[in-house]
Amino acid sequence: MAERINNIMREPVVSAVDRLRETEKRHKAGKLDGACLLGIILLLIVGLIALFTASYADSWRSYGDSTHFIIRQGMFALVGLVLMFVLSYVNYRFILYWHKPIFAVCALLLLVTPFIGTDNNTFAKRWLKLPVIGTFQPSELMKIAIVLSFAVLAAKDVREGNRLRKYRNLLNPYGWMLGIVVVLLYMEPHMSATLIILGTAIVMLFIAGMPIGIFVAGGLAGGAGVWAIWNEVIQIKQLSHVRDRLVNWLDPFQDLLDGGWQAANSFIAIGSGGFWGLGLGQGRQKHGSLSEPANDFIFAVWSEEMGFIGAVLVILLFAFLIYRGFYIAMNARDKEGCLLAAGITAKLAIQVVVNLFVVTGLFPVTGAALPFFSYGGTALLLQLCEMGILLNVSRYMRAEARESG
Amino acid sequence: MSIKGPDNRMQKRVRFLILFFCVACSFVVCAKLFYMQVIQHDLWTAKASDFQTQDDIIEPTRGAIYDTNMNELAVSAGSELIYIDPSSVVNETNTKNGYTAEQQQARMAELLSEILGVDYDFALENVKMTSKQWRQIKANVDKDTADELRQAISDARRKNEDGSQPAGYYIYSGVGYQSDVTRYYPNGSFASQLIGFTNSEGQGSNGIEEKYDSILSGTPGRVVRAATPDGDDMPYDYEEYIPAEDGASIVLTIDSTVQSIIEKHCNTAFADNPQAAGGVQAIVMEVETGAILGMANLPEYNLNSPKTIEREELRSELRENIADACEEAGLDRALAEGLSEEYLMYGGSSYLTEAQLANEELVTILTDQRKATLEKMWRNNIVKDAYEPGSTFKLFTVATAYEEHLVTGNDSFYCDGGMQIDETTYIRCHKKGGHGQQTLTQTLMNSCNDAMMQIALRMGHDTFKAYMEAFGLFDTTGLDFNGEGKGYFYQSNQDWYRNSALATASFGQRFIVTPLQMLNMVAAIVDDGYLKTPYLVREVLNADGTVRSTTQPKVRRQVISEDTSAFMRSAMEEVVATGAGKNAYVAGYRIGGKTATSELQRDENGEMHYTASFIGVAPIDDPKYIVLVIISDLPESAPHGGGAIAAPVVGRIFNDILPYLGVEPSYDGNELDRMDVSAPQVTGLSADEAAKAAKDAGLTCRFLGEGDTVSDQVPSVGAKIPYGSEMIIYLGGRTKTTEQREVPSVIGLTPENADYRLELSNLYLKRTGVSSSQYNYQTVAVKQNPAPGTMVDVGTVVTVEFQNTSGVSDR
Repeated sequence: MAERINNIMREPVVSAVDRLRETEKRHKAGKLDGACLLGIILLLIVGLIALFTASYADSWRSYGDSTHFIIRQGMFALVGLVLMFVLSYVNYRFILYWHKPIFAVCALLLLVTPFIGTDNNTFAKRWLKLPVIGTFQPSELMKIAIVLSFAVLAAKDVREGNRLRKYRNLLNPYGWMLGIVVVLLYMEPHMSATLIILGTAIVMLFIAGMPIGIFVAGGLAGGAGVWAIWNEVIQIKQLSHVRDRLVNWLDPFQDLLDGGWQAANSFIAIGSGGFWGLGLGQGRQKHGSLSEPANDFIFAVWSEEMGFIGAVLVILLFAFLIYRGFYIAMNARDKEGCLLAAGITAKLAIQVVVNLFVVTGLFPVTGAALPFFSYGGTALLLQLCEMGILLNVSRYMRAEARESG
Repeated sequence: MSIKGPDNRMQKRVRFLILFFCVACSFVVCAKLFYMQVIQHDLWTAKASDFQTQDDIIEPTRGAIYDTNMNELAVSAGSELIYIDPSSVVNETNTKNGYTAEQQQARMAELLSEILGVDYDFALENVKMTSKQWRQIKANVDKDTADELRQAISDARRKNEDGSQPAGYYIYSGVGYQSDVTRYYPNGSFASQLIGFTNSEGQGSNGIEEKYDSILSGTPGRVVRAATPDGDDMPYDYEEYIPAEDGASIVLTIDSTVQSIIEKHCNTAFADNPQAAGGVQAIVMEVETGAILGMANLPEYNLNSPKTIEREELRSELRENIADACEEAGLDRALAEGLSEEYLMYGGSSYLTEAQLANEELVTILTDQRKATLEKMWRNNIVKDAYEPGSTFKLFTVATAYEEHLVTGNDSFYCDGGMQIDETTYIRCHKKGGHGQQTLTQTLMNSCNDAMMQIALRMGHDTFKAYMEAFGLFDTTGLDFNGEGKGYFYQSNQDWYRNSALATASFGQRFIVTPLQMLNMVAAIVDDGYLKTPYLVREVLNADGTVRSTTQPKVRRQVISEDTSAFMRSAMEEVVATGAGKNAYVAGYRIGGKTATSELQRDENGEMHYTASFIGVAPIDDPKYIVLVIISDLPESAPHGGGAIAAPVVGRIFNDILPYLGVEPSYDGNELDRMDVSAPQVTGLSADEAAKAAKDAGLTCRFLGEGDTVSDQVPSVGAKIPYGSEMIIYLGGRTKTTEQREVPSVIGLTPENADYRLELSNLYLKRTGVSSSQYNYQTVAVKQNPAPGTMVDVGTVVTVEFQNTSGVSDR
């Protein structure tokens, strides 16, 4: 504190040359944001613990080995950590430079997925199979691609006179890019990825100056759409399951075997956990009651075992990391960095919020994983890579922001 | 070029996002968590235990039923019922994996038929009923087989090494298990109406099984355990275990050996009297305690398949009833002829043709008639149904009058063939010419109706009725059996106080009592007047084998004095020794008894029907066992006299059970011919010595051949032959022939002729049945063993039963 005051006191006597040097210094990569890194590491550790306790029952039943899931996830976490540190040294501007080819490749991958992909025994073809790594979702890559592209494009628009304040500028290129993504994802289909990509894009455009009015319009349109589906005004076969989901959301117990099962068992897990929880490893719902205990409903298992206390702790950790991500965005060196950090953070935030809302019944069931927690090696790998990019942005934060962190 | 970071508006908007995500959204989620985990905690905990626990009912093992010597009569074994939910056999995942619905169903049917051994087509048919959710595949599956099925399904459910699910992963879905307990009756039809059986729910539905259901069935236990939705155990400790309390076992007073003996003789009697529409019943009771040692009802049924009508005569009766019912309903009688024998035997629509099934009226008739036949077959009519006792009831009349000092042993009664009761009523004795002058004992020996009427009228209605009540005829005997029947008498005093009512009642007609009431009454008459409560259950054993309770014999009251009882015993002995009951005679034992031939109603052809019965007591000087045999509902055209057809059955029963029950025989001078002696060793002796040895043994001898030394003998050493039989002793190197003889038929011959016929064949005669001292011109052989035509060695003993066909009239 005293030093900072000294700096301010000294400022008037700093010469122009010094200023220039100071600017040079700012352009160089500094130390990464320690608080952000701490948040990531803590979430990763808690996430792995949660995954182990949530997965061993399923793992045992399916493979006769309780550690099947955790070992795989742990290996991906280690590789991901390494990649994160590597990426934190790669200047994000370099990555942003490639945003167009990256988007093109991701779009291509999404395009072929419905044809050559695999469904992993679900009802949608969302995965591509790779040797060694196993399966991964191209939609995960597309999420990053959108963030990268929008960071570059929106930053340019801001610099060129707040072009985003005009609606027509939203359509080109943002509108059609999102349009392509939505169409490609619909082919799988993949509702939750669509939601997350749209949400992330909107958050980035919002930061870049998109008029608030569009939210009012969007809110009205969305409300009308839900109303129409609910009252069966629109009867599109492909949307009928959306209505079923809404019905099951309102009362998951009315139709346990056909749709309400997941939500009902999630509520039971959370509710029966109580304030202090049943104790780590003592969860009951993971033994076959909760579908995907190690995946979409891992937070329910955590809440059951660790109680309200443990759940709030995890929420605080996420809140802290999200706060830190946005803090990095606010203090980024340039507008691209700001939008990139905000986009990565927003994507994380939206995934977390959607997952927690689903698990606690605030939102209809849709297959959304919880970052750092849910089982999925490639997803974790990508998540850590994104954190690496975020940390790289933090290296270029303004010095005073870094010090205050 | 200056590089600028985010402008103020961007920073402002990012700050808004921080507020939105880190504060607002987090708060909402935390609030919802708080609501669910703290405020609604109890609700969700309750729901959790619903979802996470499996409440397994543990079926207690039903207690066994033992006979008095702890032989198992009914035992339980655990088993499972296996069903499928056809609606969930076909599932999407399989379809996606390339299995058509037909293939999935076929695989399931294959699995079921392979492991459970059910017919493949049957399994497939059920698997295809996709609109149903529960189809039974097999009941009574033992636990090992059920485990095998579980294992096969779980093997198919193992994932591949790489975690993917094999193509057939879901192929066997929709199989379910229910625990089930099977009841097994080791002796099949043995004492069937007495033991009863359990229904498909495992509850006793007849006999002892029904009466003692609550004791036998025990209390179901429960395991409330943490379980996954698949029913597997969860690896955390939550289990509330309320153990099942296994049912107690019942030890009956029934003695399997006695029961087999009476069943054997009832079967013989039923075969001898095939026209007995009401079947044959017998009871053996221990006089001093009231314990029932055996109770047989024919026709019987197999307890292991109570719904199968095994007896052919029951099936033809059923067919006849169906024809009658068809006619009544306006259908063609011939419909009954078209029924398959399998349908009559097993029931069930699968044995009916399409055309028969289409006739709804017929199906209703079939179901009703078959049910009626089954219920008749299951009914323990000794205990439940009443009959007109007939002449055995004369024991009551005499005992009561004697007790009241209205008659003495020295009184004489004149029978002129009937009695004018009042102006309009003349009641005949069964002997038209009358029995003439008789002592009190002779009235019983002759079974004289005239004398009974005189005695009863001397006694008056009130005394008669009071003793009926005292002997327990107005009430059930208190046997531990469901649905015990009791007597049915004149309902109004006006009817009762008519002299004709009293007169007919004196010889046991125009009212009904149950066979058991009758037996119990006679037991009291011979046992110093003590009326007891008969019982079937000797002990109740806890599941661990310790005794829970023991039945104490219960004396209800002393109805008549010891003197009266002594008189009755001597009179009853005379009935068997020289009276109408002489066919019940068993050599070496003192038997007392009374015959009865009671009138039933005339049938539609105007033919009178009769029930023949006999109550016997042995040994009559110290009554231990009492036996009642009833041959029910015989037409007049068939032999139907109690002394002729029921008494020999009682004799045969006593002949077999008394030695078994440890009553030593003692022969007096008149019955030495019934005593067996062992042939002594005479081969190698001199002729004189041999003659002496035979004489010492109670045998006569005949020499064949010349010489001093015995070279061979018939019969061989140690063979049992009747006292006084002739040994054949071969001298001088002669030996008996090794050629076998054919047993001649002696049925229908007099004792002398039978003896002569057998002697010609060098065979020995062993007499059973009516005492030799009671032989008359109508004494004939009725049974022989070995059967005629059997090839046997010389010197073989042929057992022949003689009966008197006259002098045993008792109506």
